[in-house]
Formats: sequence, structure tokens, C-alpha cells
Amino acid sequence: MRGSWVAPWFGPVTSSNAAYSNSIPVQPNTFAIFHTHPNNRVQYPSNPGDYLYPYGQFLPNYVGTRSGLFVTTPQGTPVMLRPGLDWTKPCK
Amino acid sequence: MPEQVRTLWRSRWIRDVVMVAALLALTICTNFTWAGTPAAPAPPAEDLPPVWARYFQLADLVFPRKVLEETPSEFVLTLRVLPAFEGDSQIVISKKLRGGYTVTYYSLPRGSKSVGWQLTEITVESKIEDPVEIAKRIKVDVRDVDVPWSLISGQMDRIAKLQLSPLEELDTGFVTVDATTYQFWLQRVGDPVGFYVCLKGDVYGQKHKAHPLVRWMNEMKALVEKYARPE
Repeated sequence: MRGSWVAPWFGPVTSSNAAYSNSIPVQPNTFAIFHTHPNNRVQYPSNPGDYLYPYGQFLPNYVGTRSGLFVTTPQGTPVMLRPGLDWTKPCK
Repeated sequence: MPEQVRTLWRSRWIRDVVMVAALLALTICTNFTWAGTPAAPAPPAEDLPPVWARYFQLADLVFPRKVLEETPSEFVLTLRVLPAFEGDSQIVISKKLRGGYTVTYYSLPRGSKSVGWQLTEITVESKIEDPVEIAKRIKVDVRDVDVPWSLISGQMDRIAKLQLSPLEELDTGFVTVDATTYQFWLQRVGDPVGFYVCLKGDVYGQKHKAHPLVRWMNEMKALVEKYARPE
């Protein structure tokens, strides 16, 4: 996600095609990223691997799993935004 | 030059490794890399985000390095590999004063979730945040491994000859989610001079693209694990 929260731009990114980890290109105006975890892996953002600081700044990382949609916080505690697979459905 | 540094510098192998480490110290920022702290203990916590500082504190508790202070050695290398999901391990290689190597292998029991995974679950589900308390819940297998001298020595020759450009890995244009963290320490017992390098990146399926030191660590890990298998 690039731009700003007010005017976000959602765009596809290239993948490093690695199994169980992924390198994603970011730019200075990238303000959040999203990725998923498979069912047989941790159902929260991985700690500390999903807590990212490109350009020295904390980057919110949204992680979708079958347990819910989570986002990382600078404090190191993930916040659940949507439970279960509810996040796969459009917002009402 | 202080005597301790001069003594360290007389060893050609140590000198080469120090040069490699010094170069690595300049290869900062493959997403999140700390490098080149002059003393080998953990990176200065004040420079790290709290979540990373707590993780490294836990990793130091789970994989203790106090053996470095207790083993009379020419030098000690500590290689720690911390994947996001499974297979955390630490290898301590001590070059004995009278020749030969001592290899100690620390690993989580087969099938265990990674340290980071357990940290997350314990923190979220049990509301326990103290790394000391979390470390008590994580089991670690420790064993001495008898690796043939020629194989260890061959690996040591390889790292001594690594040619690394200071700018080779400089790349702030990527973040790696669920990355594997590689920590490398070079220490001489009783000597404050040492090097610490921390790299982070893909581990699976990207071996040919990995940092040369990471490739070397993966090779050494595979070698030690080959001889660490239970009978």
C-alpha cells in the first residue's frame, strides 16, 4: 500500500518466490504491507520477523491467517482486526 | 595498537576473519541489519526496536553463549540461525589451544515451533511478556558433535577466503516478511575484541542469492547437523 491512508494506492509487487518467507519491494511512500500465513504456520504476525523497519521507520504489516486479520504494532503486540476468515469478505 | 589487538592480529586466520567481519560491518541494511559492534555480546538494546531487543534477549536465554567465557580457546565462533517458523539452532565452534575444534550444537527438539513462534503464542495467549519466563518454557537440546577435523578446517579455510564487497548487500528497497535471522559472533575468550554481525533474509529457496556469509553458515549448519544425528 503506497501513498497515504487518505489516498492509498494498492498495487501488486514482485515476489522473491521463496517458501515461507518473502522479500517485498518497498518505497519511501509505502505505508503498509499485507501478506498471509499458511495454516500450518503461526497464526499471528511472526515475531519479530513481521515487525519491519525499512528506512528506519516502523511499517505496519497486515497478516491474514485463518485465525483472523492482524496488524503489527511498534509495541510488539499484534492487534486482531477481524476474527477468523471474516477478513476475506468485503466490509459492510 | 593495544597488546590484545596485536595478539589477535598475529593469527592470520583470525586476521582474515576480522577483515571479513569488518567488511560485513559495512553491509548494513538488508531490511534490518546490525553490524560491526566491537564487542561480541548482543547488540546494544538501545539501538533496537523493543520487539527486536526482546527477541534477542530471549534468543540469548534460549541459546546461551556463556561457554565462550569458560572454554580456553584460540577463538570461538558462534553461528545462530533463527528462522521465523521452525529449526532454530546455534553452533559454537571453539579452536582449541593445542589444535582441533570443539563443536557444540544447540537445537530445538524435532517438530518444535521456532523461538519466535513460541514467543508470539506465549505472549498473545498466556499474556507472559518476560523473556526469562518465556525462556523457561522453551526446550533446547545441547550436544557435542564430533565433526572430522578436515571438514571443519576446510570450512574455516573457506570463510577466511571470502571476498565481500562492502556494498554488495546494501539494499534498502526491500523488506522480508517471515525472514530468517542469522547472527555471527567471533570472539576470543578473555579478549574484549570481537565481532558481531546480524543478517536477515530469505532462507528457503534463495540459497544461491543469499549473502556469502549466510551461505557459509548454512553449509556449516548442514555439516554439523549431518554428524549431530542421533544414533
